Formats: sequence, structure tokens, C-alpha cells
Amino acid sequence: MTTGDRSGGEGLEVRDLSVSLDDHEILRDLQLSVRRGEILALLGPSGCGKTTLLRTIAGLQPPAVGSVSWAGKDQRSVPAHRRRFGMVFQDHALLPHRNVGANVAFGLRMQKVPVPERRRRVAEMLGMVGLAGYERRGVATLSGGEAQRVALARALVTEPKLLLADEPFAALDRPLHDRLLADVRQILTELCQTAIHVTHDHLEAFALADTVALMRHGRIDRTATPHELRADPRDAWTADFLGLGTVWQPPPGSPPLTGTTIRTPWGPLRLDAATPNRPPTGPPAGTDKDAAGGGRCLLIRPEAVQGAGSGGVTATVSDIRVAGDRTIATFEVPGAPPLHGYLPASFTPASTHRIALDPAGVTMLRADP
Amino acid sequence: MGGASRLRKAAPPGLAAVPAAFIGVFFLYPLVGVLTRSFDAGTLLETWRNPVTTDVLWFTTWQALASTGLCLAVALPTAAVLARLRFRGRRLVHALLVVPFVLPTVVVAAAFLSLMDRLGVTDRFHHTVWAILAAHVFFNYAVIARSVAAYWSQLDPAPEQAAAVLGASPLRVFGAVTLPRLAPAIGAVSAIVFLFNFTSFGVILILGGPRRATLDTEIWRFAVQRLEFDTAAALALLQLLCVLMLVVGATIWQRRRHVAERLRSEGARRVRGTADRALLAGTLGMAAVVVGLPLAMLVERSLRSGGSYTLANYRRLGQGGERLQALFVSPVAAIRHSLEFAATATGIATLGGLLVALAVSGRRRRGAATLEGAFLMPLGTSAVILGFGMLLVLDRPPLDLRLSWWLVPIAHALIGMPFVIRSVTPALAAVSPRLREAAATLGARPARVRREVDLPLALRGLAVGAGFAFAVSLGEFGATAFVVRPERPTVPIAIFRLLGRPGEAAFGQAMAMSVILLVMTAAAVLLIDRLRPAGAADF
Repeated sequence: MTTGDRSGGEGLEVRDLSVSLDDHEILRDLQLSVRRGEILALLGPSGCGKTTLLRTIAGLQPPAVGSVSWAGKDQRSVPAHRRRFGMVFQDHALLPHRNVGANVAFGLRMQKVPVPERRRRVAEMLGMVGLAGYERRGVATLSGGEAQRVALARALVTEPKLLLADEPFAALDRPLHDRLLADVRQILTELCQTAIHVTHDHLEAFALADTVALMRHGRIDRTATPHELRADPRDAWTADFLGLGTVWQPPPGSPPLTGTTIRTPWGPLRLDAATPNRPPTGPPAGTDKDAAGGGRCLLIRPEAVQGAGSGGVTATVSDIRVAGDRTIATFEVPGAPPLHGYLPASFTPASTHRIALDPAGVTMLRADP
Repeated sequence: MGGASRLRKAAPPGLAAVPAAFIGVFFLYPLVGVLTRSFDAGTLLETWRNPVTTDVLWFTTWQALASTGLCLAVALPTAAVLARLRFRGRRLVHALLVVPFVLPTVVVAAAFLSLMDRLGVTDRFHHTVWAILAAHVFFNYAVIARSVAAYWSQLDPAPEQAAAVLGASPLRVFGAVTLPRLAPAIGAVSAIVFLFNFTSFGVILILGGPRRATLDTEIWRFAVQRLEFDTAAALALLQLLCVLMLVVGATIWQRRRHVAERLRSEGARRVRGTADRALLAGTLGMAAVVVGLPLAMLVERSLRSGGSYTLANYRRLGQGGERLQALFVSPVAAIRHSLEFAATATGIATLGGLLVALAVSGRRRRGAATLEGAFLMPLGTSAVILGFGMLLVLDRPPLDLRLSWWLVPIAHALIGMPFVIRSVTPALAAVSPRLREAAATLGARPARVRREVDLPLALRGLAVGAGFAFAVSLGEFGATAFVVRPERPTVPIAIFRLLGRPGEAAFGQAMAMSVILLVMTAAAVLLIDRLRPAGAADF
């Protein structure tokens, strides 16, 4: 399989893009770039415009303003069928009147690839997605996971410059979802495939992508690696959306958060100016309205919650759930938001414990305006 | 962005230009011809004031009302059983019930003639309103049973259950809850059936005879037999106005009655208990008597000649001979004509219908409905008016088609095209836009998308529509009676002529030909029902 234009060089550039649907502005002044060979996850809550952005890049949706270019060439006048961007749809969009082989071969047929080569490449790609020998199966007989693999094979076999995937795993159950995710990551990496993967699930985005573009209200809020996002979510909304822990807003008139001891509902806390408790640096991408500062708040991660022996405050365990190999307990303290912490499985609901906060697990955030 | 906007439309609206021109020239132009003729003649009011006209209008109306009422009484119990009971062979009963509706009117008339003959009551009932009513019940029984059952089976049974829990007896539940909920479906189908009965032609011409005339048979008598075009045009205008009033009234009533019902699929339950079994047996027995008996008698009569069972009636069809002088051609030739006309008409209707459906499916909802409605107009116009209009206007240059072979297939194609549109449009609308987009991102040009995605997925609907167009053409009588050339009769025309001839031999031959037409039409219809995807539109 050739990987001619799949690695290195200039990739996708989206500049000042605005899109309206039925007089409703979906995308506003959006900027996005994707390097060749990069897997980018477009992460955001439902309704933020992810799908519209993807469809605009694919050429299925006309932009009102702005440009979409590939390798420096503007794609505005290039219709969808000439862009050579592959797309995987959430509902697979397999052609119901054709079998698996014919579905996967469709793009190659459009490119007038000779039959023997077409057969070989279809077989090779089906093998790659774990469906070797499925050529003659009817698409109606496939399970959801199989159908999604066929859809992926159909898009990848044409060696698209860019793969666009629109929440392809949203309809799958969790174990299947996780297995497919790992497979897809491996296949894309192996092919050095440039890809944009749309999802509203941060775990999916973190597991799959090199880079995550966080999308909110029709624009890209921030582009960062999964590690950067996790280590420094910068603002309360992001921390909350990524499910990193409890966001706590100090009462008005509190002293500055660094250098002094803060009184929290969970006991006193002293933060240093050094990482990881540093204040947010710079404005998020594409906006500068918060540059002057605004309120600050704290992200209290589960690892900050520690048992305190005789010190600390008394908290009631309101809920316990097992996540992977750890147990997460929810602690209630009167007048404070619920706090999540990793704790030994011996804790039972409604029991009370004394807890304290470890500054190492606390990150300072910019409060939402 | 060119590519994107083109994708949302399945096809440019220009596609509909050819069928639009076809409808314009062969449907609208003749219709306008009828209107102008009726105004120009100057005898309009004179014809309308004539007491004979009043009598005809009165008879047309009351026989249609009586037929509709009788149909409802007979068909509603069947609808209940089809909607609420699940039994073996339910699908087959469903399929068999369509047959009467698409049967050619002459075949139905012939079936009732043989039934009366068998029962020995021909003298008492032939040329009376009773024969007409019975034939109308036969025709529309399935229309009512199927369409009410389709609606009924999707009604959520929860309100009925709630009423029962509150202490209402089953009869009370039906009267107070079910019947009012069914009112929209019953009202809509009653309006359609009334329209069919009001514009019924073949049945009344054959079973009603000269004593029982309706507007449509009078139009034919004045135009074809007496060549009094002015009077025929005046009557045609009267008929058009009545139909228009009916359609407008029914639409307004339906809008007002419209209730948002929560529909769900399949509320049918298995047959259990003696009551269910008795109900089922009664219904199937009723269907057998209403639909099966006349057809069985038709087949029986066709096999009888000179007091014994024989194939003589069928053998005589092949012979030209002196006996068939009035036909000019042998019945076998008529079968050949019918098949040629039907094949041509189906070709035109299928192509035109497909183009219209493609154009409609590319538009936004409101525009699509208007465009589709324009092409469905021939469905709401009586075939007699269509045939009369064509006779009136297509007889002079540049469109002198009086002697043309094409006149009959064109008329049949006009009547068949709405069926094709009605079967293809839903099939195209059901094609997910995602599929088109997927094909586009894989490199398919818009035209290629249409060929690779839309066309294959609409093929089934297209086959169903083509089957209907074929069946309709085979049995078409109303328009054909106006535009047919005497030396090129279709099977229904040949049967009509044979029935008009005295003698046992001609009658036997008419029965034999009716059976052949019956078999051809039934085969087409059963084939359609096999192809029809579950839940597709009913006509």
C-alpha cells in the first residue's frame, strides 16, 4: 500500500470559517490545522458544530465565509467527489443493495482501478480491519461493529488524503467500542493516515488521537495533546467537560489563591506558585476576552483527596463505584459540592471519614465568566 | 460550493420537463378542450336545465351514496379482523383482496352477469340498480377493508384498554372509542369510494343498460353514439364541477377532523378462543361470497356451453369467422393489441413517472408536494372525461392523432403514470442522504450517485409501479371507449362488444375472454404484492 501523500508536508488548513444552517450560525470564525499523518480528535459537547465542521471539510456543506485548504490549495471550488477525503458516518451509510466486497470496492471503481487490483486491495483492507473473507456477505447481516469496520475499510481502501470520521463508534456498546478504538488507532498509525475523528467522548478522544481540538459554541477552544489537556485544563468548563474532578469556586472576597492558606470546605489548603498549581497561562485559542484575568477557581482531582486520620474534616460517603482497578467514592461535606476520590474498597456507603486535600492534586483554573 | 448544493438534490428539476410536456399536451389540453367546448356551444344552460339531466345527476349521486354505504357496512367487519387478528394466511388474504380493485370493470360486469345467469335471476336484476350496487360493493370492498385495516392496526390500543378497565363493554368500547378514532380513515376512504362510484362507467354501461344512466355513461352516449359533442361537453363540465366540489369538501373535512394519533406498528394479536374463530370464519366467508362467488361463477360460466362443461367458448376465440363479424377482428388479435398497448403504455408511464419522482425527490417538502400533486391529477379525473377530451382536441393538425396507433397507449400511460410516481417517490424519499454523501466522498459524480445509489434502491418501487401501470392498461375501459379504433379493439372493448351481441355463443365467448383478462390482471397484481416492500403506500 502506498503512503505517497500521507506523511510530512502541509496538511489541512481551515481559516476564518463561518457556516450557517437555516439562518442559524453554527461555526464562527473557526481556525483549525491538521498536519499530515496526524490523528486529530474533534472533541466537544453535542450541538457545538463538530459534525457541521466535518461536513464542510468534506465538501458536503457550503461555507458562508472562510476557506478550507489542503496542501496550500483552496478546496472551495472542489466538489466533494474530487477532494479524495474519505468519510466514515455514524450510521455506516453502507449501500444496502451491495455486498461487503462491492461496498469496499466502490471508491476504487470510481477511480477506475482495474478489477484484479481492486480485488486484491479490497481483500487486503478487509484483512486489515479484521474481516478477511467477508466480501460476499450482505451488509444487512453485519453486526454494528462489523458494519463500522466495513465503513472504515471502504473509506481507507481509496487511500484518502484525509480520513473524516463522524462519531463512528457512538452506537456501539462499551466493550466493542474499546476494542474497535484500539484497532482503529493501530490501523491509522500503521497507514500514517491523516485523520479527523469527531467525538463527544473525552476518553475516546484521549485514547485515539495525537492531538485533541476542543470545540465549543462553533469554534475551536483549544488544541493540545491529551496529556496537556489533562494536566492543565485551564478553565472550569474544560475541567468539568473532561470529567477531571470537582471544580470549586472560592466565595467572593477570598484572598488570592497562591501564596496564602485558603479555607476550603475540606480544610485549609496552601498552594505554591509552582506547577502543577500554576495559574492559567495566556488566553485560550481564538479568544482574548478573559486575558485580563477574571475569577479563579480550583480543580480538585480524585488523587487530592486523602484520608486524614484525626485531622481534616468529616465527610460522608454518598456513593461508591468501581472504575477499572480503582474505587471512586463520592464524599459529601455540608455546604460543599460532592468530591470524588480514589479510596480503598473497604469504604461503605453512608460511612463517615475524615479527609484532607493534598495540594499536589489541585489545579488552579480560570472560572467561567 | 457547487458540489454540496448539487448533492442535496437527487436530480435537477429540468428532468420533469418531458413528463410535464406530456401531461400538458395529452391531459391538460384535452381538459381545456372540454371546458371551452362546453362554454362555446351556447347550449350549456339548456342542457343543464333539461329534466333528463337532473334525473341523471340525481341517479348518479344516490347510487354512489347507496353503494358507498353498502360497501362500508360489508367491509368494516373485515377491516376489524385484518387489523386486530393475526392468523395464518393473513398476508395471502391481504394480497387476494387487492385483486378486485384492479380488475377491469368489464370483467366485474361480466362476473355479475354470469352470477345472475347462474342464479336464474337475470330477468329480475339485469339493468337494475341492484346489479350496479352489488358490483360496486365487489369493487370497493377491498379498498375500504385494506385502507381502514392499515390505519386501525397502527392505532395504539391503550385508549381501548383504558376504557375497558373503566368498565366499558366491548361494544361500548367500539362505539365510544374505536369508531371515533377511525373516523379520519373511514371518512377519507369513503370520499374516495364515493368518487369511484360517482364516476363509475363500465359497470353501469353494462349492468345498468339504457334505463340506468349516470353522467359518465351519458357523456359517452352523446359523444360516441350520437356524436352530439356540445351536449356531451356540457355534461362533462357538470361532472367535473361535481367532482371538484366533492374533492374540496373532503379535503376541508379532513383538515378539520385531523387529530394527531399516536401510531405504532402492528397491534394485531393471535386468534384465540371461540369468539375469535367465529369472527375470523365469518369474515373469510363474507370475503369469499363478496369477492370469490362472482369470479367463480364467471369461470364456471366460461366453461359452460350448450348445457355441458366444455372448452368450446375458449376454442371459438381463435376463430375469426362469420360469427365475429361485428368485431372486425378475432378475440385473439384483441389480446395481442391489449398486450402491445399495455407494454407501450407501461414503458411511457414508467419512464415519465421515474423522471417525475427523481425531480420531486430533489426538492424541499412543500415544493415537492405541489409538483407531485400536479402529476397525480389524471388519477382524480374520470377516464371518460380524459377520453372525451382527447377525442375533442386531438383531431386536427398539428396533433391529428385520430387514426394514430399511439392514442390508446398515450391515454393508458396518463392513467398509469400516477401509480408509478406513487410507488417510486416513497422509495426515493427513503434513500438516506448519507448514502449519497458516502458515494460522493468515495468519488462518485452527482450523475453517478443517481445511477449507483438512487436508481438501484428505487428499482423495486419502479417495478411495483410498472406492474400497476400494466394492469391498469390491460383493463382500461373508460378512456379507451372513446379513443379506440374499431379495427384495433382491446380485450375490454372486445368483451363489451361481445356482450352487446345477441346469442349464447357471443355471451360464452365474452365470459371466456373475461376469464383470460382476469388471469392476466390477477397475475400482474399478485406479482406486485410480492415485490411491494412492507409498509409501502397503498393506492
